[in-house]
Amino acid sequence: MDYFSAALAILYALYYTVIRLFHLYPQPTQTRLTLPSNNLKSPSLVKNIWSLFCIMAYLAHISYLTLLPRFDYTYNMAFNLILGLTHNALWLIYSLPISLIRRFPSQPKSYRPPFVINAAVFVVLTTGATALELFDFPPWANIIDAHALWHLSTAPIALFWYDFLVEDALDHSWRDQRA
Amino acid sequence: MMASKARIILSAALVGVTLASSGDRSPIFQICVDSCSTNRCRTQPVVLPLALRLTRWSCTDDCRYTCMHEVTSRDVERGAMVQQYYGKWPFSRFAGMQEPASVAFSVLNLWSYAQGARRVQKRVPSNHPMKVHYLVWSCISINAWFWSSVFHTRGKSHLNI
Repeated sequence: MDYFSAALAILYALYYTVIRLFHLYPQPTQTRLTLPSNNLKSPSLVKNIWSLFCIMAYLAHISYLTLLPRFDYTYNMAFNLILGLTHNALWLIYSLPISLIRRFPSQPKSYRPPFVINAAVFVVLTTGATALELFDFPPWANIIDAHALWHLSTAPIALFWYDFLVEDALDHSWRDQRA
Repeated sequence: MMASKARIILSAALVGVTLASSGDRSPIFQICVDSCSTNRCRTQPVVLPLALRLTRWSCTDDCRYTCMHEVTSRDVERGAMVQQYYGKWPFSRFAGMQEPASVAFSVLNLWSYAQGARRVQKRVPSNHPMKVHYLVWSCISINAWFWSSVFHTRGKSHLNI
């Protein structure tokens, strides 16, 4: 249960990241004259394909780990690591000054408010925290080991990440889009 | 040049093997567990404290725990390397929790995500297209940290899957 719940959380993080960064969320309709502004278009085909792909990937992941006589730790680790690295790479693309993607709805590619750098800070912090796991040492005072330190460090990082997500969602470009 | 490289790789491999060797396979540990489970568990079964029974410690589990710390203390006295047992370091248990620090920090993470969800709920306008995703993700994460704390309480295979 521990591993499957964790994989779901990581997969969902990647899922919403793709929706957010490639603007797959429901867009307001362009025809301003005929429909009220908050009337949302049905989710695009790309989003449906992406949702289906994620669901299939998760089911395949669980089936593989359950049907195998022994739990495949190496595969499980690789699965989570690839999802995590992809998630981080996407947010780095969003964060770094080179404008490869349009970051915000109804804004040019060059639009880059100062808080976007926090996504890169998050990636650095998360990578640093995960690197703690590599220094596997005997626990101090029989209590704290590297794994415990990793859990300790992820709690404040999560709060930092939520602050970033909220700030990203409150950017005026979202309001302009809805207006 | 090649030879020295090969030696580095070989010694790295040997270090890897030594680190991977686990204390639960050492004869001294196994003898200790065997005699403990015969003397304490079979002949005159002891009743474990309530906290241990609630967290499903069997008498043999308790023997393994006691022996693990006995062997570890001996290792420390002799200046030998501390070994892992069943893939985990020898932690002091607390109220039946095998890894109390990881349990506490998992709960801390759970709280962080709950706190984050509250911030999203309060500050992101309800018609924002990403809001629902952030809230769903929060629930999934809270669930994951709940299971993480359970797993670190008693990391047995039956709880694992």
